[in-house]
Amino acid sequence: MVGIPGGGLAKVGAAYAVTKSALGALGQYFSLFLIIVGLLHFIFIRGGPLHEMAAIIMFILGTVATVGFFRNSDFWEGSPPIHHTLGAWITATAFLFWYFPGGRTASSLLYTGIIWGLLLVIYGLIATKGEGTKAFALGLIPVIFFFMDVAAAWLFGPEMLNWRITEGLQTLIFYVPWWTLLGWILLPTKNAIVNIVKIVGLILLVLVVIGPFLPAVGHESAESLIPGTQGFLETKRQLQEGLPRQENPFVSNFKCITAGRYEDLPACVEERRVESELRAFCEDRAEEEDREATDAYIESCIEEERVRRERERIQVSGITDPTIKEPLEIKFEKGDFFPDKTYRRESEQSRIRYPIDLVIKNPRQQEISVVVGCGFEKTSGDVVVAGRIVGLTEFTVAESSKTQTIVCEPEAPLDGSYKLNYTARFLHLQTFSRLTRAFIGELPESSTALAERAVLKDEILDAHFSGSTAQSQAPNDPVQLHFALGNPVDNPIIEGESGLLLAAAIKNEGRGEIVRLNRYSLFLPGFAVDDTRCLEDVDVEIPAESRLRGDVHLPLCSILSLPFELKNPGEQEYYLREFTAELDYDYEITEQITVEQEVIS
Amino acid sequence: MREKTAPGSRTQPFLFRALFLLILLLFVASCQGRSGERQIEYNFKQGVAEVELALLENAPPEQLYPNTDFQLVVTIDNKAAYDVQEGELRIIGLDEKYFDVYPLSQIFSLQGRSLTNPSGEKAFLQFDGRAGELFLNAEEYAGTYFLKAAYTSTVDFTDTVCLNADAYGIYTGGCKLEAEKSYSGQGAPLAVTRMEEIVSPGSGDVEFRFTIENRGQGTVNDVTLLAAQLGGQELSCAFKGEEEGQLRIRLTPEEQEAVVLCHRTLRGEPSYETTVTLQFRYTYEIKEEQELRLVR
Repeated sequence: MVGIPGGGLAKVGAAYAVTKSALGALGQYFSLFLIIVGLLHFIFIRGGPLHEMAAIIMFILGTVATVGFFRNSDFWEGSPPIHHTLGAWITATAFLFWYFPGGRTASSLLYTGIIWGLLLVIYGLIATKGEGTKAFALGLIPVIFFFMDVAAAWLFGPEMLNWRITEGLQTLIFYVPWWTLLGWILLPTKNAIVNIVKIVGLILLVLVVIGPFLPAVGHESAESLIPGTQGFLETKRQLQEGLPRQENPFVSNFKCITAGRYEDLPACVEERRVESELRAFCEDRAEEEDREATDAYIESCIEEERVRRERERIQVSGITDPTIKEPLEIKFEKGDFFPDKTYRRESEQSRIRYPIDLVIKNPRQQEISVVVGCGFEKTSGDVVVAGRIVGLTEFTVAESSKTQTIVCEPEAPLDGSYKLNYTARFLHLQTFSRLTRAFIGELPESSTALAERAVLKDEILDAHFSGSTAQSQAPNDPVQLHFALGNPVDNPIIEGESGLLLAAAIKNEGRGEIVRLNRYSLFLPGFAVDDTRCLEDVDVEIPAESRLRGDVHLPLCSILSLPFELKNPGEQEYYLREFTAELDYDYEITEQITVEQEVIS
Repeated sequence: MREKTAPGSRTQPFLFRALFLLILLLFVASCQGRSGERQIEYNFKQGVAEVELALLENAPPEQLYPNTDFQLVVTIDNKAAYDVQEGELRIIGLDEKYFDVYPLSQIFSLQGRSLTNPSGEKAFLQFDGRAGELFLNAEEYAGTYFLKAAYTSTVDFTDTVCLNADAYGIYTGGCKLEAEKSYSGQGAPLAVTRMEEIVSPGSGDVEFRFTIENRGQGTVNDVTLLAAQLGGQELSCAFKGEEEGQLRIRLTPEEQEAVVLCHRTLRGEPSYETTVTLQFRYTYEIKEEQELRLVR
């Protein structure tokens, strides 16, 4: 046994203290270094082709900074030998091994995990008598930040958490410089502001890091459990494609500060955000239209789009008319005798006929032209068998209620499972809506008259507009035309005539598709508007995304003048008026039923 | 020979007749007297009362059918103790598409309650209407509307007050001054509800503060002080917050109250009781919410 003389011990102790101090300084140095490099990485590299390589470097820097920080903290009691921190490097190395050469498979996770576990027991628990185990856990910190840097989009995307990408989450995914945040958290300082930022950063982490890193144990496959860095970045790109392209808030803030807009910084950032989004939209449009994105084109496009969005922001809502209990109803109804599964001999060429009821409830007794069709589509593969309607393919309904059986026959013998699609197209359906407004004349000037006006408004609201009756009301038809008038348009009391707007939207509330908007009319007799298309138009274009659901916004217009009596109710105090609107449209409903025909020999 | 009658025997029947007539007269007079006394004792100018609006039963009917005529008859009953002038009843808030009513307004004037007309005057105003069509296949339409009566009326206030210029006098041998008195009303919606009497020691100045407020169901708009007298002599008055001599005020819907300040200088007279009288003219509006229902 070799003894260590007392002087030697002192030297070792001194050397140890120096080393610890040096490491502490190193930790601090690396924290600062991590902040700076993390920021550079975030601004210049993140999302680019060098992201993956930079992420590995950042990961190593992050591990050094983490170990350095915790060595100088109260994490370990006393002064741990430097080799006690080896566990952090073992964890980091194991992760890198699993992530890159291991291909991120479940099996490689298992092997890596076993080796990591063995090292934890042998080294962490036995060799260092348990002191080294803490370091193994420390190694997970840079792993978390690595994920946040390269894999946040994947983490929140549909493959894992499937969160709805809100603006806040979007910022979290794309605009948090994670390595800088780690460096900040690891800064060895007692400065209150720095500590507050640390706490905020930690809260941010706690919010987002909740258990999504557990691998899908049991799903043993050769495929990666998680995508690679490029895969993550691809996910991020996909997410970004689905979201408006906006300027990085960091850049926006920087530019607003350098422009001296300190007082209205949030407004400035928002302006830049909207501007960048509109610019990107117009650049895309120029590309789609295959034209040069000149400054003049972009400026004009931005202005046009800005106006369009402003107008679209005016949401027109409506309610189902509670006094109309019987709306137009159109639907297919499968009967009890529908042959879901049939058999035929191989030699037989007979074709089974598939009947379905088309139920039409037409309480307003409109004259409706109906065109029906059908077809078969094999459930596996893309085999299509044409269908033939047995009997009338076109007919007219004027009764208040009619059930017409539609019979479909395949034009070739079936073999296997098919989706049978029935379609019924209804031509020139009409729907109506109504909107009530109270006209109280110009705003009075005297304070007494204003007080009286306030009382009158309350009386009007109580008497005529309780509930949602300030909104337009329409029968619960498949398609509804709702409109609104006023300023704001949902205010049912109209004071004077300046600044009034008229907005309308067509809403597909049914399960079918709007095929064509033939004509719409809003009846406001005596009103003058700045764009008559808001009152009436024919063959209205339907945006593709609005055919099945959503709103078709009709042109919004300003009211230029009102009928005289509505402008000046005089002694009558106010006039209540109901306006109506009418829509003529074509609509198609589809019913899909799986049928099977088994061929027997 | 004519039988000589005793003196006075011819006068006896006359006396009987006269006595009978006297008793009858007394009886009749006493009956009338008691009845008259009751009426004289009843003071209509107290409490709160106003014009009441109501619809005559079945006019209009509870439910109307499309494209049918109907009548809307409004009963206006003046329960106040004062006459109503320049009255106008207006129908407000009906959508003419569903209920086309003609005319939309009618004028009226009604006498107030009095000895000769203890119930007050009542009027029936008839409006003709036609129901329109329902919207599409709607099952019904409920049209809420207002019956609004606007009119001008007056209200009088009278009370006895004690005037005493010597506020320091321990015993004046006269009446006792009441610094504050409250009132329920004077038979109208507008009421003097409080009177304060403030005597300035030494100067002989007496100030009366009358609080008037709307205790009716409607809204008082303009109030004009027509007369203010103390013991038959004019008082100098103004509405609080207004200029001296400003005898008219417009009340806001939120603030249906005002204070009238009146002054008088006493000239060292010993204390005595006298009457203070005020007369106001006011414009008033009352609204009744009603509903017409059109059914299929």
